[in-house]
Amino acid sequence: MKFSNLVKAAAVLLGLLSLSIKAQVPIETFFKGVSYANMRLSPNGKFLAAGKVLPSGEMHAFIINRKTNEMVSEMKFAGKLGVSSVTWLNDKRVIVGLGFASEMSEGFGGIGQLLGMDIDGSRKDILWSGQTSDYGGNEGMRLIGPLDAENYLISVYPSGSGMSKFPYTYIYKLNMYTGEATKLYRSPIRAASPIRKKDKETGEWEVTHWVGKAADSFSSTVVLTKKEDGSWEEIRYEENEGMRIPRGYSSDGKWLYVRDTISAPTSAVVKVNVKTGEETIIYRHPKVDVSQMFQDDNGDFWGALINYDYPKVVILDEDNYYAQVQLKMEAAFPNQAIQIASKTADSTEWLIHVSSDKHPGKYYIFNQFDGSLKFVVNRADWVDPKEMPTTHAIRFNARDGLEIGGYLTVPKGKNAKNLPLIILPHGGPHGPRDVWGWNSERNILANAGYAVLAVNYRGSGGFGRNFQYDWYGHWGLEMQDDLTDATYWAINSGIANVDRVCIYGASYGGYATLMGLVKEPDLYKCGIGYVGVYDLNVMMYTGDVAMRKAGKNYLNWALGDTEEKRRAQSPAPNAEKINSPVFLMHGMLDYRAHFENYVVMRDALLEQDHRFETLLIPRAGHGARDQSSRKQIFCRMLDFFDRHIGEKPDPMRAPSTDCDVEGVDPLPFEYFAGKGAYK
Amino acid sequence: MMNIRFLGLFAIALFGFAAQASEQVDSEAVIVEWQAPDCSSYTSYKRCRNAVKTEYRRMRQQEMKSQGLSFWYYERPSYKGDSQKALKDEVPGMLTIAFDVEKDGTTSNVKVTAVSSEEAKVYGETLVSAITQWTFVPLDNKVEGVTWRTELFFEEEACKDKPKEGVEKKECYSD
Repeated sequence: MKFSNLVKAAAVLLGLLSLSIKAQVPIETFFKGVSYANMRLSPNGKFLAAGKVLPSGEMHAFIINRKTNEMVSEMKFAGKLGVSSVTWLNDKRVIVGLGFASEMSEGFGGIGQLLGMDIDGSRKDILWSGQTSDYGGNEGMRLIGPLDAENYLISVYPSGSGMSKFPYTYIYKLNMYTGEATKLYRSPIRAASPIRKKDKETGEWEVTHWVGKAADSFSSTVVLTKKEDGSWEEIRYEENEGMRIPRGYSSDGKWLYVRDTISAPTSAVVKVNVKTGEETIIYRHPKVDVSQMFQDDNGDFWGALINYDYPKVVILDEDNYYAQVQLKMEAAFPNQAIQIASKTADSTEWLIHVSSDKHPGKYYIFNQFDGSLKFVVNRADWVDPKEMPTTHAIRFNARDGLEIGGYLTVPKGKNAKNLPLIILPHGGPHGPRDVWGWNSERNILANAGYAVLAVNYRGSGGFGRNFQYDWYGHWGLEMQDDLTDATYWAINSGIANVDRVCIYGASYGGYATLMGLVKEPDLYKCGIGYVGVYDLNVMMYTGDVAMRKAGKNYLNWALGDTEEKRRAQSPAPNAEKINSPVFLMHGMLDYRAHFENYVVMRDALLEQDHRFETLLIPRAGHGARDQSSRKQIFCRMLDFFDRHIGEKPDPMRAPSTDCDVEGVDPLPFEYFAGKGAYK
Repeated sequence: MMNIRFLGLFAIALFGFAAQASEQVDSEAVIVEWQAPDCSSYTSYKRCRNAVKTEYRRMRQQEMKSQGLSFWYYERPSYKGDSQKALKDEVPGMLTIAFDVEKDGTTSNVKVTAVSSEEAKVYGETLVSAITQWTFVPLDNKVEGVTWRTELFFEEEACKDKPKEGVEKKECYSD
């Protein structure tokens, strides 16, 4: 009896061992994009429309009859396009937006083309191909909203107009059957969107506000408000001081909803009585901006989504039926993020997207009559949540007491103790932030055995205007110290092994990586800079940001307004302070963090006779999109980390010769031996 | 088309607790007393309608849970022809429909068992054909005598934002 128990115990132990060995899944798991995109219920609930990536790489938009589960209509298209939006025009017709695969992210960018198809497979048409005479080339566009049964209002802007340009936009009426486009007006201010109100008497839409940008600033918002006498009042807000941005009207037209950051640093959603001007704050969180608000069929707000630690729907009215539905769904899917993807017109059925740190997402239908959820489709059936690392929200206080949040991803099957750690600062830096959820980059690194700490250092977006704007001009200073403090937090709490810590990031994250090595030469055992900024003075005159007045103003503010200050806060001119092995990766067509940044950093390291490695991506801009490039990049990265903080680190070991991808030219990789100033 | 769909929203189905439909399945539909919900305690007709809908959903969920029923495919009634015209003309009414759920989840014996008026019978066919399309998650045992109550009620003309010509507007809702 005892003996057999022992045998069983041994078997269990062996089972555990083999499990921990198997904890690594093939890296391909993380490279495949999700197979279903933008699934939407038809207004009458009889059909589902979605986009799907075929194994051939072709994109496929289709409509499924829910009763028979048969495909009733489809369109296929080749090329590097993805379904960026699916919109039901009515019960019989679907409008599909196609976007180009975006850099850096796994989604698809702005709409390049708009296609329509009927549920019976007829009337398949290109409705918008991104060609007008206004800009003489390819234009981007955005759906603003329905105008009537056949027409939509769309906003057209020149393509490639990223953060560096704020053009005037054209508002068109687009017929969703014929594709006939009629220009209605040019926006009166730059990059403006109209705020519309439907007249109850006539059913006509009236534009009451325009919300746009100023030519000389990234951080200003200009609001035009129509006054009683028909004239327009213009107010320019500075984001660092606070703004009041109109967002839209209640369906009865009685309330105007406004996003307010004047009365406090974080954003509040405020409702303003159109007649009396009386105001009520619907919701504000003291630490973070509101991500999304939820309304019921009466237009009453029942919840607010915030991303403080984990994504959380704050219930505003416990008695509200939909709030109770939300809580019920949360109970069914603990530790997962629940999003309402679409609803039927009578809101009897909801299409629900459920995702987590361990899975990119599955669709379910929630039926209000039986209160139960039915599985529809798995967007990534090759991802087994049981094999995935876990991401925890963490918080610590920086050296000056400021609360800093972050996300710690722990390898599967490991305790958060004495682990090799990679600090992963996000790009931006001002505006973007990290959130909890599926993140293939964090999971690739954790899958290879590293704990990953993504830090929302000060200057990040989402935590209110002070948290972001107070730290313009503090690159490499307090912003950097937050990353250092995060590293010490992980070491002092026993999570990280002090001898096995590296830092890696892209764009600003590449800057923070090299600055980390400059400022904390003994803390990081290695660093990888990807499409990084390495000399703030180079940033002042290269790249697309410096091309515009608004960009120049931003750079003066964010990077520092004197050459001396910028030099002191740059890694390349301070390369002599770097002790640790460096790996630089850069797209040769990068116009955001211009390739020149790579050149000056490389030359500075060469001058120091420092040992370092480089990987160039000849056809990539600010981040590689191509799968074979990304595979080589991650293979090189994992090899680099392995040599420096892996299971058996050996900084003198030669780089892997095994990172080429079959059928493509290997990306140029160089190893500069130097004299090896490693400690 | 848009208009019709909007009107469709006014069709409210209610679960009948009291009616034991199993014995009535084979009999003709009986005329029963019915009154549209009283909306005077609400601040608007829309709120009243949504409250009735919510109350119904809560009851429905309890009832279906107790019967072990769960939708695989739910189809809304699509009002066409006479029933579409009746909706447009705002003919009010209540209908009780009884049906069985077979082991494979399909519905059978779908019949109108009670109706509030002769005029309201016009909706019967539409409701029966929608329920005929329903599929439930397969069951261990057939469930007999499920009843579904559908109420169709409309805002009184005088209470509307803009009543028709010749109808005097009155205040119907509480502030």
